[in-house]
Amino acid sequence: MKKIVNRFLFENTKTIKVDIAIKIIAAFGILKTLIILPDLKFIGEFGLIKSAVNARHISWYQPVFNWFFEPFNYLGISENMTLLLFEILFIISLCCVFFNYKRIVFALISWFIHFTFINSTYLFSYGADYFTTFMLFVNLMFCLTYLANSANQKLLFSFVIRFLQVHLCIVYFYAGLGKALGINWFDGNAVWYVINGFTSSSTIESAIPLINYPIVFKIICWGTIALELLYPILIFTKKTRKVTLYLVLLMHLSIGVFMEFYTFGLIMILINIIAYGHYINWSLPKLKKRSVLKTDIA
Amino acid sequence: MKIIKKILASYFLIHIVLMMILGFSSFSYFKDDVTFNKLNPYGQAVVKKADEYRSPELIVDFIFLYSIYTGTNRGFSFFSPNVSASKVGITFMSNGKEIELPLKTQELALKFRCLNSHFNSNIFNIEEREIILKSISSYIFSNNTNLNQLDVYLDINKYPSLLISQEIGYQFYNKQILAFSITKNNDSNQNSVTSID
Repeated sequence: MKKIVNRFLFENTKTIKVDIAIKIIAAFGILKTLIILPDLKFIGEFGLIKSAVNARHISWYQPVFNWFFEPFNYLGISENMTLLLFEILFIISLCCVFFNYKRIVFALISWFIHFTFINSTYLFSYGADYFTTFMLFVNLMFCLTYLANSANQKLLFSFVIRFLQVHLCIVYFYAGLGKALGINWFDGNAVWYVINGFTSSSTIESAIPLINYPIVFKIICWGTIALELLYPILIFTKKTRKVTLYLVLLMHLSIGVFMEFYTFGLIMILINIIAYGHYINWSLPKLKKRSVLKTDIA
Repeated sequence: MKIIKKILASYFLIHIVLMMILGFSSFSYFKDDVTFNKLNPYGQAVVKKADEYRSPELIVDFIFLYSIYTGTNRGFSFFSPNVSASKVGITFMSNGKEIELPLKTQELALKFRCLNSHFNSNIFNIEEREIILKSISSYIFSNNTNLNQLDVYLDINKYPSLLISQEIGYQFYNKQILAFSITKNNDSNQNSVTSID
């Protein structure tokens, strides 16, 4: 048993490089902040949802930007400027993480600022925000592997990848199980209602002719439940792991493009690539061979 | 390294157990009458079990704390157990003219939909409903100083099922109803809201 656990968690398995994983998370964090930056005013005392309203939904041990407004105000820095400074610090921290400058310190700072941002905007937060917090937490674990020597670093990185892989299995399993408890994920209406309530009018118009073929909606619904419920098995089975990964990536791409949940779709794609990206052959086709063939034909 | 391995393996195990408890216990949210009646028999049995399941208080507190700090506190049952056949949006009007919320980015528009969904699920909770409306209205009054009154309309969209669409064609129900009127307090604080009717 000890050997199995040891092999599963710490064996130096094939994974994507630790530096690439960290860079992916950092780049996503920067992009996510830049996207929301023009609307930063929605937080705080003069925002859409006042700090006092937000405070009703969070606990005292959850840090919020409100904690910093008063001391900064004492220094003559306004609320909006304080928010902007925190967001700039977040971007700088992730740049430092990206370029490998004091990674552990800046990974911790970036996680803390994002966590504070989510707590300060509780009623506005959704899946993408929570998965970003989780990924910044995992990023901190990735960065901590730099404390070890190079041999142990690989071993620790393998552990974090396993941690992420198993966490994803739990996430998908419960997502699938939740859908399997209802009714309309079995009769095809779930996807039909998603199209109606969450996609553009052009997508709805394209879907209307398919009403006469309800089996199309049923197959998508059944496929989603099966893929999510069986993900923990399929992703670890040699014969099915590649196709499972492609199908999950396709599912998140569809969520991003059709439902316009861009950041959610993107973060889920990136998490899957970090966890299982080594199943995909990323090498570019060998152009040299092609040119040789062309010369032969000529 | 042996000790570190043992610590990490223990942490790994604790994380899995906590996430499984969190995932399972989150199904107890489906216990309300409306959701429960729309579960299949197997779903009803699972939800009953999830509702009966009780962890010791100390473990519950620890799971709550750990899940908040790791961003896993909202559970994993997205679009579950069913997808709603209706959608309610909020529109702010003044003197018959729609007041656009200053949402510059697509991301904030999406975040506003999350707020909207929270508002809809608390539509019968007078206190929560009024607090949210007062906050948004105060924001609108600050950005539109010439306004004195806001009318909050609910845009109700109800979509036909696949079967109904097949039988009578695709027709979705759409109705806009005046839900609340909000007036600004001009006396003391320019941006505060005095009443919601």
